[in-house]
Amino acid sequence: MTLLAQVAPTAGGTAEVVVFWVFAVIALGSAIAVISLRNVVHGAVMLVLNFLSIGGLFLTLESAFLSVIQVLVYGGAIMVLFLFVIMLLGVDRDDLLQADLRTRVLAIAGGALLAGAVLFAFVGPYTSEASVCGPDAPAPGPGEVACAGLAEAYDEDDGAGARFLGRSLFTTYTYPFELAALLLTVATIGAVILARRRDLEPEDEDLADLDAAAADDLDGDDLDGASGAAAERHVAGDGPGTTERGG
Amino acid sequence: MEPSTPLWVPVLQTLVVFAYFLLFTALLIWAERRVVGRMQSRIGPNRIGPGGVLQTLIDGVKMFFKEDVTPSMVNNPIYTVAPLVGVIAGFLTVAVIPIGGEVTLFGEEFTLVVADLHVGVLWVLALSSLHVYSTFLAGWASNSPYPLMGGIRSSAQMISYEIAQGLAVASVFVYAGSLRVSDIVAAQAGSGPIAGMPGWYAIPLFPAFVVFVVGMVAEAGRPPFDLAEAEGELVGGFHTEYSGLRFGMFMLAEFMSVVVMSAIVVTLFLGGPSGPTFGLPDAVAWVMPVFWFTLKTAAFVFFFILLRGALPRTRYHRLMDLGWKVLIPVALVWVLVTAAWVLVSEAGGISAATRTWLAVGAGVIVIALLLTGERQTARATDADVDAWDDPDRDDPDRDAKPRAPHDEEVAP
Amino acid sequence: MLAEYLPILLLFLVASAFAVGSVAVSSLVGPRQPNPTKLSAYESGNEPLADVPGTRFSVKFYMVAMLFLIFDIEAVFLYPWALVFRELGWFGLGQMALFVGILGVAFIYEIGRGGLEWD
Repeated sequence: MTLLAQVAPTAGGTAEVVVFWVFAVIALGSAIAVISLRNVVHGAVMLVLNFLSIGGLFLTLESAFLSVIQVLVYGGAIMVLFLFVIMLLGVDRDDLLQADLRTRVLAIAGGALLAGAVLFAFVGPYTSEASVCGPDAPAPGPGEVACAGLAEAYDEDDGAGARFLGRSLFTTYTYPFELAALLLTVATIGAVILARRRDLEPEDEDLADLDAAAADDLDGDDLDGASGAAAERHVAGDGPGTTERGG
Repeated sequence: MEPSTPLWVPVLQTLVVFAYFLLFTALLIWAERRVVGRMQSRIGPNRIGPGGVLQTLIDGVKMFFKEDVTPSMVNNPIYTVAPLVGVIAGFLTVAVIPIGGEVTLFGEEFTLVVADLHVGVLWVLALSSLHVYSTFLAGWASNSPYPLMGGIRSSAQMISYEIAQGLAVASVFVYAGSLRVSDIVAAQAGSGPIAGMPGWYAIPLFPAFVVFVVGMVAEAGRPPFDLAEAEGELVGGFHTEYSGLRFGMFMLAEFMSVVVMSAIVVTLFLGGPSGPTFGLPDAVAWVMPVFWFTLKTAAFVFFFILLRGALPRTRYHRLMDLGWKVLIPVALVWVLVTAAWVLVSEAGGISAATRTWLAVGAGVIVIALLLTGERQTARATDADVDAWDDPDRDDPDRDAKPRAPHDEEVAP
Repeated sequence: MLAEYLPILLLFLVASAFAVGSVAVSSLVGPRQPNPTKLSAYESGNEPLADVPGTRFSVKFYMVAMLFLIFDIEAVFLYPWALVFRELGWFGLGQMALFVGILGVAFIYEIGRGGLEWD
């Protein structure tokens, strides 16, 4: 945040300052709401808002392409996956959020570690002007910040930085790019293997899912969206999956 | 925008575009009721205004005075926000679509577009990807079985077809080499490489065009892909619990997405507002781009209406199969094929006309193969269903469930 | 850069004012006569039985969302590539083909395992 605050206000006129602070306040406020709201879906909505305002912050840093990608991938895809996972687990109820002591301790430790890492990145040796702007950046004049946004990195008609990004991605960073594909493939295969344990076998599809729901395993199948009539039966039924997990 | 431009110029541009799409949507609703009425041997609304054209206005006014019920079990902040998200996202999507060219008014240059962003088309994709929240959250916040199922179902449908559209757009970028809408429109203006044909991307990128059009019908949740509100199964789908003007907002968002999607496909594949101006004097020449854009968009809107009147609703598994196993692979492969073809022809010095002819030929062959494959799949599925002792026999909605389109007779 | 987005802000304000204003006006002028049946969940005339929160959905929806995410990322990588592939030439095309091919393995695996079977 401090870095953004240093760079953004001096990059342009007062408009940038105003826009930066608006998005910064929304981003922080919604982030706090994500962890403080009891209802998971409300938290997810706040996380969408958070992602959108981070998209706005990218905009103040003159990286419109990243901004739109932030909205498209984080706002549009990752949060949809989150919401589907919430529906899959059926945790969209307030009283399910009872973490035990061990989880809490682990969460606090992990959070502290992350916060430390972020803090180190900001106060450590990586925020000197040379390391942020690259060694070739021109020396800043009086009252200027050394590298204010990405506008100098690409020319005005570049599709908001997309060509610049494409050139770097497909020349300098070829291997990380292909590794990303491998990573995504592994993630998909892992998801298929985990999900397939029971649910994807055809004989489960029709009549078996009442029993399956009663078994209350994590592949819960209370609602079979492919068949409205069948789904109605499950919802209208006593819905074992909806009652047993309360405690 | 130049710093010297007075503030009222962007304000007026914005208001003009906003009013244009709102009016277009109102006319679409009326036209749809009239055309579908004709297709079903009815007359349709014809009382209010000439030919009933003011019917939508009256219906809209009526909706203000309807009771807006908030059922007791709903999750209220989200229940109220969900319909607003859909409408606002719908209007924001059109921000980069040029509805005409430049107009000089009161000594100021206007462009009939809200903002010609550098990220251009990606703005459209990003905003339409946010549209899914309206559907999902409405279904979830209603806290009621039918809306929940409808919401999840149509969210899954929307994200599936969003991918198909996103990949189809990539081949437009390959051809245009730019994300910016004005560049893409300019690249299609005038006559194309084939003599006597326009330079529209729909011609060399025919498979991408088809994928995008099918995707847009599904994305807008229109028949035959209106699984979201399969009346026989899900009552109204995600908006079952809505009434009054908040329901009206969903209606507006749905019909507006028809107009917006048509406008997008016209812009990306059919040259947008470009077209002959017939040597009109400069003072009135600005009318022609608006006219061409409106005409092309109206043609697509009419196509949407015909689809609704002519085709029965598809089944969910066939919808998902079509999206994932047909459209997405085709769009993906076509991007790479197009790129390879551009590289080959630029290296080999093949003339632009030859190049385009070959692309057209390949495109037509791809689509023909797909249609044949689709018919065979449909036959196989039907055979399965027949052999399986009619699984719908207990289903009260069996007549509402459409059979495969190829042997379907349109009901009189 | 930001000035480019000023009209977008205007459009956002106009659209929000339109949407929020309509709903607000309607709630002022519309009638309000609630009764218990009207306020209950719609279940085609039956007594509402369902306890909807906490209902769990089929994992198939999750599989679709997962695959959606993968392909969304793939599309996002395609866009900058589509803008510069002429400069990159066959090397760039090869990279992208490899990328699409690797993800294609995941796709075919999921289809082969029945991850996208709905009926």
